[in-house]
Amino acid sequence: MGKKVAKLSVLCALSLITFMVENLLPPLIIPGAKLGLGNIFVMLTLIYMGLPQALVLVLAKSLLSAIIVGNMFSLAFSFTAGVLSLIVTYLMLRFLSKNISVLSIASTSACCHNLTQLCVFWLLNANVNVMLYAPYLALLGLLSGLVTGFIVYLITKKDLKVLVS
Amino acid sequence: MLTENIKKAPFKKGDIIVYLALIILVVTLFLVTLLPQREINGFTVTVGGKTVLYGDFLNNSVKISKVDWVEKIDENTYKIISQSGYNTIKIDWQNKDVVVIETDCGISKECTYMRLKNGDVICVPHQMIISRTGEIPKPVVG
Amino acid sequence: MLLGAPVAVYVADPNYILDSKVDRNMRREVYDLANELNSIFSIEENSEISAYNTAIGEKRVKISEHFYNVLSLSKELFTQSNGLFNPQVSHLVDLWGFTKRHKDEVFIKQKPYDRDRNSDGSFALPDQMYVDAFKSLTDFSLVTLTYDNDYFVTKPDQKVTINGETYYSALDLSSVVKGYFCDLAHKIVQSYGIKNYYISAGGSSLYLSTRPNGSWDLQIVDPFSKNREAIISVPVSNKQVAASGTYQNYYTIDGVNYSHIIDPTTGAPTKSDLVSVTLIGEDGAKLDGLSTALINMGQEKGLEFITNYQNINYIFINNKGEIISDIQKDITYLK
Repeated sequence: MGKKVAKLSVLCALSLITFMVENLLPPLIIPGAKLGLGNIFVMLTLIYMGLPQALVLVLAKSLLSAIIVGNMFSLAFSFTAGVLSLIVTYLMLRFLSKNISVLSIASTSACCHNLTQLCVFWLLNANVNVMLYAPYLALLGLLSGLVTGFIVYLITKKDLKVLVS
Repeated sequence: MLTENIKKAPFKKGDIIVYLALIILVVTLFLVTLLPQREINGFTVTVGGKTVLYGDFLNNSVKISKVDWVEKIDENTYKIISQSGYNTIKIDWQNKDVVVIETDCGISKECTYMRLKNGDVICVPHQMIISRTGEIPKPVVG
Repeated sequence: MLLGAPVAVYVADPNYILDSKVDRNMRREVYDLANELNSIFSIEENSEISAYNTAIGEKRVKISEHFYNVLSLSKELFTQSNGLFNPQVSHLVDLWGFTKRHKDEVFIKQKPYDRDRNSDGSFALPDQMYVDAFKSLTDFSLVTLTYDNDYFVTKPDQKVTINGETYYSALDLSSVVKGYFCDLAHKIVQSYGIKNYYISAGGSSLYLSTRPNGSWDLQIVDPFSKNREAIISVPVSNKQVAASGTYQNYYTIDGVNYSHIIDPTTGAPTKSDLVSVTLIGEDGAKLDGLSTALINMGQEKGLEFITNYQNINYIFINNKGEIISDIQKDITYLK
């Protein structure tokens, strides 16, 4: 049990670090557009530990990143987007991983994540027109999914070596 | 086992369907959001939902609704002060464009990369939004 | 769309953003209203008015509140205008070639009285027998409305048989529904806290509120121009506007213009000296109906009638191009 918690904490920490590093870089093309490398850790947790642990990861990451950045407002969208894309990823992994590679799963969940963030922002601000950014965010999700998915593939190929540490 | 499935190959047959679906999604979003574009007649700056400033591109003029929240630097530059910080905006009258040139909203300062031409300019930490208002034709009867 | 005419809402509030949630909700409510009215008043199948029109013999029919309201004010206008506003002329409108089907790309004759459409869009004069027969179906006063815990209309048994074909009296309320729509729609827009806006229903009925720095410049179309150019403009705020004109839909035979506005006293397109009537007032539905009636009245009788009417400003344009109005001083000439 203790080992599980330790593993989870490491994954969470790594996820937070990638998030902060990404934050330092300028946004790609449009705002809110990040590489989403943190998704790698979400997927790894899902694959090697399971859905409940992955959920805890998402929760912890959303909460901590909001505190670190000093903006509780962003909790609303990062949490909603994180949970939703987690569910999508889980379902796709569970039922479709025979016929679909982890790359397309990563692309779909990244798209899902980005668009959900946009929608939550739109719902909370009645008087704003952000839908113009939707196509770019979807495209970015598609492309970043290729990168993150490929990394997950490589890690699983090399098996649990990375995680055992 | 899950990892067995994943390890097999980076790309699989089903991928084509998934990526095709995603591409259709992207294209549809482009068509839906970019085609019905209306002309920008002016813009409003709101902080926390309240209008602080209104810019009229037709008359090249600015109307300040909340004097305490706006500091005028010159005809084209205004400093918008919110509870958590400030955003300095610059107006390009010729091109009907507005950008944020300076702000203290954290490390990434995403709002500085947006321009009104491409969509609403948003500073999430400061809850500041610069949005466009559209063109209105004269009412015709007959 | 409302009865085939495009509906537009323009908002000029300085802090209003298009495509925001407020905007979408307001527009959805306005379009829902238009759809509701379409389902009642559209001459297409499955509408309340179609059911009424095809009902045979003396029949008491239960109707919706909107239908009742529109019929009720139509009866009022019919009485006030001495029958010159008459919604029961729809057979005549069809006979003379002014219903939607006559504008189809290829006109297919369906009724025994149809004539071929000429290349310039005109139709040969109809058989006088039909004109007289359909004129006999236009007694709108016989339609009775009752409220008995619900809304009812009693359709009188009015029919005429020609060449073995029987025709029953039928209504066309589209000349009043656009104004009625504007009356209801502007309340919807207001309920969203929107202050500066205008609504246009097909360009013949409008509600204008205000602009941030004043009033709207209402542009009035030149009846003699081919492409709906504006000839004059007049400032309007917080008022309903309605217009009727013979130039809106007409064809020419032997140098004589025949328009879609049927004179109920002759059963034929009006021979009025007025080509355009624009009214500005409070009650959109009423203005809509009155503008049609005034064309039928002609300049002299029309002026007499409207000057006695409270709180309505008018702008008449006659066939000589003269502009007669009670707000002449506010009119700006654009050409």
